[in-house]
Amino acid sequence: MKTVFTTGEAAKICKVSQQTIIRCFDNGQLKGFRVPGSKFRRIPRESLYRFMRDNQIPTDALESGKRKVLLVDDDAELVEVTARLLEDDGRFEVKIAANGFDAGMMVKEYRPDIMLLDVMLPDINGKEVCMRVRSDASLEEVRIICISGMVEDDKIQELRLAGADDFERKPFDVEILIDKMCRLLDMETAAVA
Amino acid sequence: MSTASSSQPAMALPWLRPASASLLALTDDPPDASAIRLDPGLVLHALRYSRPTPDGATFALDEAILCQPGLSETAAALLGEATVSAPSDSNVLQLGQRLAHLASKLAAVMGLCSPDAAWCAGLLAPLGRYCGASDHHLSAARKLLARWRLPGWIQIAVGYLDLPLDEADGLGGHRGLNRILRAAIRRVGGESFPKFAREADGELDALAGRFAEDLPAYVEVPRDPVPELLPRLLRATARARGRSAQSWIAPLEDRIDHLVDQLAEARLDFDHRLRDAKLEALSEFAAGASHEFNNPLAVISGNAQWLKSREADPDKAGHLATIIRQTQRVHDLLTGTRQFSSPSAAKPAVHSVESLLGRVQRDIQTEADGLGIRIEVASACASFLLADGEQVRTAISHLVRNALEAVGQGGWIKLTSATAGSSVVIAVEDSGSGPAEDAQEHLFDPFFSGRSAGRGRGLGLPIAWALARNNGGDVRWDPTAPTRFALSLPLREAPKRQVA
Repeated sequence: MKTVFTTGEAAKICKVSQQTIIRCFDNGQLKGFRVPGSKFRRIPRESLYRFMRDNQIPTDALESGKRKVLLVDDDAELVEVTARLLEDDGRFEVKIAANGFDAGMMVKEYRPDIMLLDVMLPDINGKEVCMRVRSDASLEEVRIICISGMVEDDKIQELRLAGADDFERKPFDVEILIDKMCRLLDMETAAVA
Repeated sequence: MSTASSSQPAMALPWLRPASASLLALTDDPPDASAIRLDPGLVLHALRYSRPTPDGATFALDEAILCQPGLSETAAALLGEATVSAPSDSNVLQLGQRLAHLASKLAAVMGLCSPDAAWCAGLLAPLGRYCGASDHHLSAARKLLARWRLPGWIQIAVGYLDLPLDEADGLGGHRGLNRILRAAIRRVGGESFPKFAREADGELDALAGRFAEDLPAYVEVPRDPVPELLPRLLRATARARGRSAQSWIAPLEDRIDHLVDQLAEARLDFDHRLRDAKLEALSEFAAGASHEFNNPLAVISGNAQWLKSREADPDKAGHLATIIRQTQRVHDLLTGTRQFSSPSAAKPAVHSVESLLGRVQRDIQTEADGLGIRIEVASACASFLLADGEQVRTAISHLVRNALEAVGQGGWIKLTSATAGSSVVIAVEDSGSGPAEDAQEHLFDPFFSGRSAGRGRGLGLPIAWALARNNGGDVRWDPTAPTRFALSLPLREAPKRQVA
């Protein structure tokens, strides 16, 4: 389990901006230390936990130490195996939405770190979901990877413009998918045992 | 009822058979018209086959008519049939010849009609008599001429002698010819034309009187059959066919050329439309298939990945890896199909040919090294092209990969470029063998099943072609240089500032 966090990691866990964390660190609300020989701020786990509890920030993300993934796809078998593969990695906690409407509800309740979003949903398409998430400022920190069997460059570009951070084709290599997730979430790319 | 009694035998008459001697003359090359013109049987033939029919003013009993293929052919056929030969009474034949001589001479002097037309009319004036009718020979002749479908001007001149001249003219014949024939009959016809409408025609009658004084003597046309006549006639038919063919084959050939051109054009247009329709259908299929197939593929691949991650046995893990790889292969095929049938819109920019070739070489170098194949870029042109760089690179890569498949270890692949008019031609050539003969036609067809191995497998060449077309270019395979695939793209003037 991770014991020390950077301000960026703390910001993601608390779902606030990195600037807020730095301000709280600098004014003493959030206790921590600087890396010897540099100005980089570091926050011990217990200090971050106390800070979150004092400020009524839900602490479950820190408690599990796992990144929250919202997997949106209507194909039950695909969702099942993808969730299993992600959970096996050990660093992710996965919840599932089977359509665009559920995804919209759950993204607000569950506050995932990252959404894995199938583009072809039974109700609204993935591009629409991207745009709705991006129109909500409180969901700014949520990263989105669109997943689809379609391959046209211009379609991918459209998804990026709608707010997707990355794109992955179906069928995907789960290691490559996790690498992309890690890069977006500022995590180490190789799985921690 | 006497008319009916005379017309009945006339209707039953077969063709008046030409004499053997004139048939022989017909088989000469060229046919001897002077021998032929004495025989009413053969003159009838000649008139019958004088197509297109000239009128009484221009008709000529010449080689052109005597060489009609139908003429000798029918004559040959008639040899074997029961036919009416010459009348036994040589007086009638003599009468015909005298009328012919006089009429043609009048025509030649007066210029009222063609002398040959007048000759024929004179010779055939006693046609009814030739065929055995006596009192009513004019009506018999009229029926025979109509039945045998002779030209109108001879039908009217000979068949309507019993009508006054003006009445006969009203039927559409040739007035000059009618006048001359009538003048000749008035002069030498004697009592042979009892129903003839006798009207005087001053000047003509006077001339006829003068000319009739010294008409040439009667010449008998021998009628005994000649044994070798049939083969000679058949040869003459063949010869005439060949000769007349030359005159009408030329325009027909032109017409055929024109039709072939039109057909080729229509065919090309059809091919293009068919190809476009096929591409559209394929594109639609690929779009649907991308979604429908990729989901199950992802499930298969995902489950295999999960099992593999927990598999301690390397052998089993290897099998699972194969499953995962194969799902990727199906996905690549679907992607390729989409790329082929509906490539993304090109984003043209100016690119240096040299740098594009260099990048492709770098991309493939490792793979080629692994296979022991040498890749060299012999770029002869420092040109620039206007195209979507990524798509062009993909197209060239597919051509190089196609070469990689065909070249064995120790072989080589050469990339060259040159400008040709307003195009840049990038050629990929290799040391392998050319495509199999049965696959040549389908090099750019996706999923052509004839390519079982080696060059041209899969979608590489079709995609290269589709991407080239998407950028205003083309990919061609040259049968004279069977391992050379040439990609042409629009040339662009060198830009002022440096580009990638």
